Amino acid sequence: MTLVRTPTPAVREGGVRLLPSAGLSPLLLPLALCITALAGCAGVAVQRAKDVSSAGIAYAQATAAVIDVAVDASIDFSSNTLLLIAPTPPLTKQVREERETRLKERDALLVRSTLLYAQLKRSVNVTQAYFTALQQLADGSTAEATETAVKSLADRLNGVNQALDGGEGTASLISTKKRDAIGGLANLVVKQIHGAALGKALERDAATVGRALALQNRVLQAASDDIRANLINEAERGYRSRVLGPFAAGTMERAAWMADRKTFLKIQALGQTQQALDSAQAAAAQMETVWARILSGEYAAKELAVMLKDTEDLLAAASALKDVTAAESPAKAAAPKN
Amino acid sequence: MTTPRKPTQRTATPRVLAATRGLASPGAGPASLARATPSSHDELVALKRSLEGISASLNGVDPRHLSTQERSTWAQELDRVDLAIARVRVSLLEGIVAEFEAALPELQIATAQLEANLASLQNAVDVINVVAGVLGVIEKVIGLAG
Repeated sequence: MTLVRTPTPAVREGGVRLLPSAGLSPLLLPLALCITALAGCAGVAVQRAKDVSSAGIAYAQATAAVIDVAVDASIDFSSNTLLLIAPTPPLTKQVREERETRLKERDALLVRSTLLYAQLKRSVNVTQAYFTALQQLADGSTAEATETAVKSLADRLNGVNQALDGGEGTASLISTKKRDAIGGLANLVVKQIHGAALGKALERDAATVGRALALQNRVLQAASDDIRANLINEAERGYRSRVLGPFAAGTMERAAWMADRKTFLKIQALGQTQQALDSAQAAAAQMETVWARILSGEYAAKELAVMLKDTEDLLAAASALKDVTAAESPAKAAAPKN
Repeated sequence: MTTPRKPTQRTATPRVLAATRGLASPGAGPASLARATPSSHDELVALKRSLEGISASLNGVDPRHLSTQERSTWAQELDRVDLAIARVRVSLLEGIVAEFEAALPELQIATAQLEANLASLQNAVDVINVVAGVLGVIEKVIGLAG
């Protein structure tokens, strides 16, 4: 039975191949129209999955980067405090022993928190793996490959038919135009299946991923608090001891004082960093909402881009903190204790 | 007139109390820390921020302007706050880790399902190609027989 009439050449429109109705049998026409309409929806699902997966990967990477900085910040925070309150030698044996005990106690806690941060980073990586798999699925349409395979299948059927009928002069079972039409239809069907698979996956995983994002938000919050606390203390101590103190006493050494002043004024400017951290936290909390709304089709990729801008600000702030700490280290090493 | 709320004055859960034990008894070790439950997470965050605020205030004091006795008290307070912050941090992170660990298997299953979806899409193409290949062989066999 012939299912497909001779079609006119298929056309491409907006990345979706459309089958002109003139080339299809009355049986296939409604099917093709349905599939064409659904393929449009499938295209939306695919684009949404691409947007969401890109955002999810970037978010996970940003969180992992902030964790790295937070580990350093939490240790520096404690070290600075211990340096600040260190007694003046000589110390009695009893005092030295007490100090050793106190340091070991703090170190045990810092080792524990560093391990916990590392564990959280691994968990964040698992979240990233989900979004990577989603991205691969979104990018992994087999529509074109299926079209090629179906056309190849039609050619083989023709070959077998001709072999059975005894020669190359025998008419093809499936004409070239029919073959192209079937191939084009297969392409659309697979696109629909692909879009449906992505749509189903997003719906199926909504709660799981939403939960993971909420936990990632907590990680980001904890890490950014550690960064912020260290930043505030560093700014206070550094400015007092290395800028204000020497200035008041009139003991500034030109190059060092200028460098220190620049450094700690930059840290003051990182009051904006604090705002960026707050903003990123808000964005992280917002991501749960954004996630739910994306899945319901209420939000577009533009909303994600806005949210990711805040996360980028957070990374920039973390990077700035690293720079400031690095710039401060040589000065600290040379400086007399406060 | 409103009075600012102080997180440390709220009724703390036993886990929060365990985390802040360092403020009352500096000898308590990390092993005595309990994990944070979701309900205590926000309390721990508030407590840690409060302690960090105290630390910032103490840092604002210039020790050169303190008497020996004042400096000793100031250093002791800073020391205790630093220890308390470290304890609360551990408790806070343990709570998040526990929750994240519990959520991971489901997330890994979801990831595996996505990978399976991708594989099944590819499988369909493979099946068609295999059928086409078999037909090609049949064609050749018929050709040879004829």
